[in-house]
Amino acid sequence: MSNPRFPKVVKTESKPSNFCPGCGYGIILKILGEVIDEMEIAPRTVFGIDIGCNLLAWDYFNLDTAQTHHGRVTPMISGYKMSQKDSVVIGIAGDGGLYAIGLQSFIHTAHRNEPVTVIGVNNSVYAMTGGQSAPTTFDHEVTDTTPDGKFTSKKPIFGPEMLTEFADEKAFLARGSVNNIPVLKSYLRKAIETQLAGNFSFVEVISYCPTNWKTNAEATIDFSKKLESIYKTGIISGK
Amino acid sequence: MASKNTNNIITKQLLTGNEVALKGALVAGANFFAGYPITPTTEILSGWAKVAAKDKKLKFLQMEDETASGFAVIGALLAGKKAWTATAGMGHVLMQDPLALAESYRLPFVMYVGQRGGPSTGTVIYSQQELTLARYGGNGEGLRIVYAPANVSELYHYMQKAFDTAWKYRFPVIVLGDGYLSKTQTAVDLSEEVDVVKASPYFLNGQIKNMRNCFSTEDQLVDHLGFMFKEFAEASKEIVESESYRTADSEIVIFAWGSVGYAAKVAVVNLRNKNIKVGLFRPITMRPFDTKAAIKAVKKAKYIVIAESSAGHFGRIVRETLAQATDATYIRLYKPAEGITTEDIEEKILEVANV
Amino acid sequence: MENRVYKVLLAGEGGQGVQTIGHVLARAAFEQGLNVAYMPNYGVEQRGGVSLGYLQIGAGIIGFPKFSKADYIVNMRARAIERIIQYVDADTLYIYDSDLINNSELKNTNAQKLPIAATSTASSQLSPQIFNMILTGAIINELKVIERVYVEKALDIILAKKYKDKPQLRNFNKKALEIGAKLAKEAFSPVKKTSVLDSLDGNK
Repeated sequence: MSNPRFPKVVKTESKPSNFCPGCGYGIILKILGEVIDEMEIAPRTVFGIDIGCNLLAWDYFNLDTAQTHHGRVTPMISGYKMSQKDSVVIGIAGDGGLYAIGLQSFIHTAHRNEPVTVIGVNNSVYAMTGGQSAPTTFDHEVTDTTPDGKFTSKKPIFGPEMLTEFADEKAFLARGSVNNIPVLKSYLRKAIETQLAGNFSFVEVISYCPTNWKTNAEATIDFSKKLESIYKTGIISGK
Repeated sequence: MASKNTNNIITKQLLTGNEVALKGALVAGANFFAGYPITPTTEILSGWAKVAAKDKKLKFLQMEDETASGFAVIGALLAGKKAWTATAGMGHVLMQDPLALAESYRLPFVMYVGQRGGPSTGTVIYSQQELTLARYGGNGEGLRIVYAPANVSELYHYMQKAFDTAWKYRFPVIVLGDGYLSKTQTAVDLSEEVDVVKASPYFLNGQIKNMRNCFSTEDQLVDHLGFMFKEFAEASKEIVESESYRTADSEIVIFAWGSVGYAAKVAVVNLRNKNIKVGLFRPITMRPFDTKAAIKAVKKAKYIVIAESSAGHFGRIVRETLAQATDATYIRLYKPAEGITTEDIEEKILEVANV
Repeated sequence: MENRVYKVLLAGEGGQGVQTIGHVLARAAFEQGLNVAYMPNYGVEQRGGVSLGYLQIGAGIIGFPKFSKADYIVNMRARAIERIIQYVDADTLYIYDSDLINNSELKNTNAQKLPIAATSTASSQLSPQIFNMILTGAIINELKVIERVYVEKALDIILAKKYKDKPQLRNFNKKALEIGAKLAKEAFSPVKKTSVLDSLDGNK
């Protein structure tokens, strides 16, 4: 395999990254890096990281970057953005960070229409702690904490759809997938543009977790397709 | 210190502790506040909202809870704002989460706390039960500075000083008041301005920083901690503050802090007029603790009276500090979640003096 | 002036204006150049709970925001009594609204009692809501250290907005302070003292 060409903003000295083989984070971060390069915003971009596998991205970019505690990336980047209006702030968190432990902050960030960009990675499990049930775990899905399959709630949490209740009409809410890079890239770009226009933006990304899904390459794609069948990709709100 | 001139009302204003905390922060250059309403410190939040509505340079966020408030403060600190918050009781508990991050990142996080009764929602009124939380809350080693003003005038001074200490040494600073201090309205001299160092941004300053609070191995964290311990110890030498009042010849030494510390000082004044050899040791920094001064204060002591509005948060520190230094008898005047008046202290001292 | 601090406990129910009296007296003392500390004290109820105010005024040093015994207590509600009884000693002067509280409810103390028919006097001569200013007039008459002119000044500052909307309120308050002082004086005049206390007690 030829050496993949990395975006300029990626910090080469801290490579290789610590993500598991086949993890979707590498794809998401690489695409995000391309968008940052193309928009030429690196000198004014601040990157915020939650807890979960995304914490491994603390030195992924040549960007000012701060990890927070679980669920707290949204208030941290909100405080930053309010203090530095001409900055671009991008926060990344998992489905646990945004839809469970950080849910109220996530909702209120949208509700206050904070001009920030949030990327939420949906792989239907708590990955870093070993594959426990997440708010996005679907009906019958077997996880570390639902060994017989999840039956308690047939309806998982649909993040961007939920936010339509709270977000400003100028906000951008979308769901992409690592299976469709060009579309995901267009969403990330649109999300940052929305922030630059002074509004909240959120992109959920369907991602891979072969380690906790216990899947090989082929089965990983199948699993992600299953997720896509539950969580419809597309623009949920905003133009 | 504020002026001792009680009649010069021209430079004085009639203000509550909450109003003074706000004014002190503003004079120190505070320009960002994020918080959540909680009695007895809500007037700081609403007071800030009012000044921020008039001055666009002052940023304000009313957040969804105290945890989020603290993390918003952290975001603002990274951007170089003199950011702060105010809280109490259960809010103080939640604030320990962002404070732990501020410790790890060495952020100049400033917070005023108006202690209220506990455990749980307790009362919205008063206590000295949040001392351990202020000193050692959070998962870690309590790498923060805790100032305890004794009255509203001192609050004005230490609120300003908190920003100086925080930005100079880059450790979180708590100004640990209480509900009575917050709500008491009294005359305050606002002419004093403490020199406060300038703020500077951590981010977007031409030097890229990748900051992490999570380490992969014990060794990495131990290195990080060791460095912080060393710097905390160095800084402590310059930061530590206490008041020893008439302790040199005292056979009875009162140990008290915060509002109770001031009640005790007035009691000492009154009792000295009755020729009772009593003195006061009052820590001003509750962390770091002025161990040397405390030991010196009990040289002649036969009795050490510990007065506090809790069942021993402070007493434990005192006894540990003085363990090797004195054979004096300890007398406890503990009134958990209740005020301790000057009269209470005088009565107790007279009882001890007449043994 | 004597180098001491006078301790005044104000008591009533949330919404009765307990805190207004406290703020007015604190402001008056401040304007007069006295040392002052005023601490409101109430529970979580926005309205209706027992509301207390700890006021310390004088030329001396004020220590803790609270005190153990009160030199003066002004009470406006019977149900506040269980909260204030611990602050009463032999030297306490207990001033109360005798229209709302029966004197016999403050039992087992040697404290001197000063009943003021604040509510009925306010209703018949001014307006019912103003009863707390009658009590304020009574307390400043007894307290001696605060001059009435500073209380009026304090009212001008604190009620500036209300006075602008309702200019007649200023005179009402002024009158109420005078009436309160007069009632206190009469109650304590050597001839009338016992009879007033007895007659008011007898009314209950």
